[in-house]
Amino acid sequence: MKKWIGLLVGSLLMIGCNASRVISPLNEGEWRVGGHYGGPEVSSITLPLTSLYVAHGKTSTTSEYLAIHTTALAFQALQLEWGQLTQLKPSTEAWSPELNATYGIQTFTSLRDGAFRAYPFVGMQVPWMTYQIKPYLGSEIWIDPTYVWSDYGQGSLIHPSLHAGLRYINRFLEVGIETKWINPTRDFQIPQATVQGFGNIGAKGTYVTVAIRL
Amino acid sequence: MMKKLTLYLTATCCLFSMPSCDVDSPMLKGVVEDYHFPIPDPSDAYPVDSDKVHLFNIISHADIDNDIPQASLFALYLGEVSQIAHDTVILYLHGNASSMNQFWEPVRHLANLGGTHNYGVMTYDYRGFGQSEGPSTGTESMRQDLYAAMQFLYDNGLSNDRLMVIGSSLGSLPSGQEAGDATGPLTINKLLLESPQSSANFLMQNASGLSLSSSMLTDFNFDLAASMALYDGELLWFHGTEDDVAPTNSALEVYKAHKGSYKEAYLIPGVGHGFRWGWGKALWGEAIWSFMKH
Repeated sequence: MKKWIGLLVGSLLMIGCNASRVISPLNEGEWRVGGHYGGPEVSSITLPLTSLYVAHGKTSTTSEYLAIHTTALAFQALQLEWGQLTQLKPSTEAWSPELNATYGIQTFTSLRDGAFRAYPFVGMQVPWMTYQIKPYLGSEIWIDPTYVWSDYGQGSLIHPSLHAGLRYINRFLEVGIETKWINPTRDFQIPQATVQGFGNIGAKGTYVTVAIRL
Repeated sequence: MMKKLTLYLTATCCLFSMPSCDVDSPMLKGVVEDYHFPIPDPSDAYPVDSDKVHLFNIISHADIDNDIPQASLFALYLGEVSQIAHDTVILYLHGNASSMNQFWEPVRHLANLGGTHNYGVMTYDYRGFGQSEGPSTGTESMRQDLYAAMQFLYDNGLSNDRLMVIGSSLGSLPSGQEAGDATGPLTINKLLLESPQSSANFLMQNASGLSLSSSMLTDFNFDLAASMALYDGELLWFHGTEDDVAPTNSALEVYKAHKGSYKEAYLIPGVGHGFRWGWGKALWGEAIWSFMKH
C-alpha cells in the first residue's frame, strides 16, 4: 500500500518529465502524431505519466512539435511543450551519427488559479540513422528563469538531463524506448517515497513512444 | 490545415473532459473504520477512567465561499466536559493516519502530564478520517473542522488562556494557519508544532526541482512560515534531523519565522517523522509539560 501511495504521489509531483519527442528531422511535409508513456522511477515503480504530441516536418532539416501532458491535465495543470529540432550535421557513414539541435519551451498553467510558469530548454539529439532501428544519445537543459521564486532558496537556474534510447521507424509508425537521467545535479524528495537515480543522484526514468506517420 | 484543426479540437476536448484530480487524494491516509479506545489497566503508564472518555459528534460548518459543505465529525474528549470551564485543555490535531485510533496512546499521555487526568484533552477526526464525514479537500475544509472543535470548547466555557494546541505533522497545517490568522472561536496563544511541514510550494518544488506553484496540483495551499510570522503567541517546535516526510531544513524556516512572545525548539538528532516514538515518550511528555507551565 505504501508503495502505491509513493507511486501516486510521485506521479503527481514529478509531472514535468517526458521523453524526447523527435530525435531526427521528419520528412518535409510529414506529420507524426503520437504519445509517450512512462516516467521517473519512484519507490521502485516507473511512473505512468502520459502525454500526446504532434510533429511536423517544416523542411528536410527542421521539424517542430507541440505536446500536451495529459497526466498534468488530469490534475488541472495545462502543460504544453513547443519545440523545434534542426539538423546540424547529417549522418554520412554507418558509424557516423547525425547531430541535431533542439530548443523550445515548456509552459505550465494552473487551471485552479491561473499560476503560470515557462521553462525554455535547449538540447541535442545524436542518432545513428543508417538502420531501421536507430540508437540515439542526447541531452537537454531546462532553464528555470523563476527559480528565485522557489521557497527557501532551493531553486536552480539549470536543470540538465541525459538520455539514451532506441527508435524503430518504418513507413507507418514509430515506436521507441528511452531511458533518462533526470537532473543529476540534485536530489528529489517526495514524502514517504524514494526517488531512484543513478548512484542515488537525480532521478532515472523510462519512457515508451508510439507514433503514427501521416 | 485540417490536421491542425483536428489537433486543436482534440486538445480542447481533452482539456474539458479530463477528471479533476487533486494530489491530496492519495496523500491523505484517512479511512472509514470503527473506533476502538480500550480502557487500559490501572497500572498502565497512561491510565484513564472509563467515565472520562467521551466520543461524540461536532458539526463542521459549510464554507460557501470555498465550496465546502457542512460535515459531521467525530471527536474524543478525555476528562470532565463539565470542567472545561475551569480546566486547562489540550486540543490535539493528529497526524496523517487512518483515524484517532492511532493516537489513543499520545492522547492518554497528554491527559496524564503532571498527574492522572491532570489536563482535559480533545482530539477529532478530520473529514474523511475514521467516522467523520468526508472528504478533506484542502486547508479550507480542515480550518472549518478546527473551528468546530474550538466551538465545542468555547461553548463549554474554555477561554483562550487555558487552551494549548498541538499540531502534529498533518495537524500542523490547520493549527499553524489558524495561529497566524486568529479567526476562529478561540485564539491560540500556546502552540506546539510537531514535525511540521513547511509549505505546499516547497513540497511541489522539492519533488519536481522546478519553481512550480502548488496550485498546479492541489487545493491544499499552505505556508506555515508565513503563518508563524503572524502568530504572536508562544511556540514549541519539535523536529527530528532524520525526518524524510517533512524535511528539517524547511521545517526550521517555520520556527525561524516566528517572532512571537516566546519560542522553544527541540531538534533531535537521529529522530525521524515519528517524533514521539523516536525521541522517547518520557522526554516528549516532559518537554510539553514544561512548556505548558511556562
